[in-house]
Amino acid sequence: MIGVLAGVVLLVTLVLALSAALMMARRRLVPDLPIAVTVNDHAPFESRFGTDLLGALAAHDILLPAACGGAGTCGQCRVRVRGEPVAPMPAERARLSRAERRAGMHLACQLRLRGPVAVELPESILGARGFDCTLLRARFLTPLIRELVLEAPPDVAASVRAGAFVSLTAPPHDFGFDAIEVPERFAEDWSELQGLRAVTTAPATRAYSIASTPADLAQGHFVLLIRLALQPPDRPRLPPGVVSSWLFHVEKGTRITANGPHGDFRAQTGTREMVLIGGGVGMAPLRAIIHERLEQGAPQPISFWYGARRRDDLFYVEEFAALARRYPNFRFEVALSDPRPDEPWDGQTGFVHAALRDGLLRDHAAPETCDYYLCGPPLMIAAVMGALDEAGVPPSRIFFDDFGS
Amino acid sequence: MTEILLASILTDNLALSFFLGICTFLAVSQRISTALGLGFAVIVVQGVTVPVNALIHTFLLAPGALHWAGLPEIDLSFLRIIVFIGVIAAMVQLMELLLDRFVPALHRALGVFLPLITVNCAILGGSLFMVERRYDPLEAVIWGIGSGIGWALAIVAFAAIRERLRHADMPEGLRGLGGAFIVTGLMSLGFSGFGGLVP
Repeated sequence: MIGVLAGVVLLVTLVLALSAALMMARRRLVPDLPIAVTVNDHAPFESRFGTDLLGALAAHDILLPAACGGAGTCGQCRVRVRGEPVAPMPAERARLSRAERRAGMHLACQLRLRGPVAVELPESILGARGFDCTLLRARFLTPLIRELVLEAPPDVAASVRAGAFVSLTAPPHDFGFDAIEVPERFAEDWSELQGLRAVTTAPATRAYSIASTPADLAQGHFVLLIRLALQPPDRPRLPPGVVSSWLFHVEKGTRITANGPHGDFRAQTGTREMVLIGGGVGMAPLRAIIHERLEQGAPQPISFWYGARRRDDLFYVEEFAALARRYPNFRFEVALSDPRPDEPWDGQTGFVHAALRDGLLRDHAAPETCDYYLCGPPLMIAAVMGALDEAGVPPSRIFFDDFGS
Repeated sequence: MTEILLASILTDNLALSFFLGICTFLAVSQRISTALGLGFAVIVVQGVTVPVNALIHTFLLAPGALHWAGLPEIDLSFLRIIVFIGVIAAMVQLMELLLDRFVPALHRALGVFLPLITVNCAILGGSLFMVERRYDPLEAVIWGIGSGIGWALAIVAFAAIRERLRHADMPEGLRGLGGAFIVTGLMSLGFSGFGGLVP
């Protein structure tokens, strides 16, 4: 009996002593101190010791783009830290070049506040802010792409330049894919997805390019193209994308938390010939850029090369065909890489980089004088970059938005 | 004393003679710098926990240890695993706080493997061997620091070999972990050569 008692007393005392020692160490090492954060030359604001800079800035309504949500994988939340150099984190070594690190660049999500810090950001980012928008309408464009039209505050819509993106935040949710309303014609594609569930216990944020035409923006409408992020075929156990699943589920009238506009993917000024190449939802920023340039009366030739797998994956085709009829300097080409034998298709087949090579680069007098805008899946971008390199196009003439992947 | 030091570093090397802590050994040996950091953390944790556990064992747990409290017949040695693990857990948490505060880049690079030192068999093994071999508290200090140094030496040498192997022309199937296992085996063979060093 006395042995049991001694054991219990000993264990309890030991655990209490160890916990007390740890709590004292924590108080010394992680003090709850205010830390001053200075952005550009604005007045400093206060944050707490130990917060990461991305969160500290967000709490002060300075919203850096961060498609990965602060995991250090997208490399978008770049800031320049003034003064004393700070040792780079492993994620920063992977995402920032040596020259950038030498210049004091850091990822805000990796930088923990331990003393006063002064950072430099482009003033344009300071204009991005959080806002709420309302879902006006939604429709399926292809089996896995849903078009959302959101009503945004007019001043935010007015600050959008073609090519920009916004970040949308999905609240915690838990629903089965059988709750998603799928139109009859895509029911077959969805039969295998019915068993999936979208679950998250914390809000999640992802970035989506704005596909709005100038007319849409004038009405305060953001047109977004959401592709359902599914597990790759070789990793069938991974859950589907948290935010994209939710955006397939949201109904008309839902309020959605957003911030933006962000991004520096946009049309260059001047009169160089423009060649735009896209695939999948890479359509979004390119559509915005094409409409903006054509309506501004751009005089140069503009061509848009769009790659898809099959007929069902095509959308906005009529719209671009109409643009091509209306503007003689605009050309629209579609290539299907894997058309079904049972669907009529008399257009080009093959990958879009091959179509671009045969249809433009090969016979172009000076392909290196055009500007190229790429947006689409990483594999497509890599193939197009290869074709452009072969044609002698210098990398400085190529602009791309790879969704931070 | 010298025998214990030599044994702890070379002949009884926790990683390469007893294959303890091999999970971390394989996972955090891609770069020398990270391996050095982890090795240092293990030396500190081992150097503190083994002597502290030795004191607790000698004065509280061992049969007759509570003699000073007037309870000579009580034997609490069956509690040693839970007590040792508690001390190790507190020490690792302290280590985490210290690294996060003063060497944040290393803290990030070690990631989940730093808290995992808590259940690293090399660390608990160090304390249990100390009991089994009946080291007194002073010997326990030597054994603790020495076995930490031995494990650190092994992982840093292993990381150095792996850094070079990355540029070697290895058969496809052996790149990465396959080759790492072979190297571990060869290093272990090499360390067995120290066998006759300590009588």
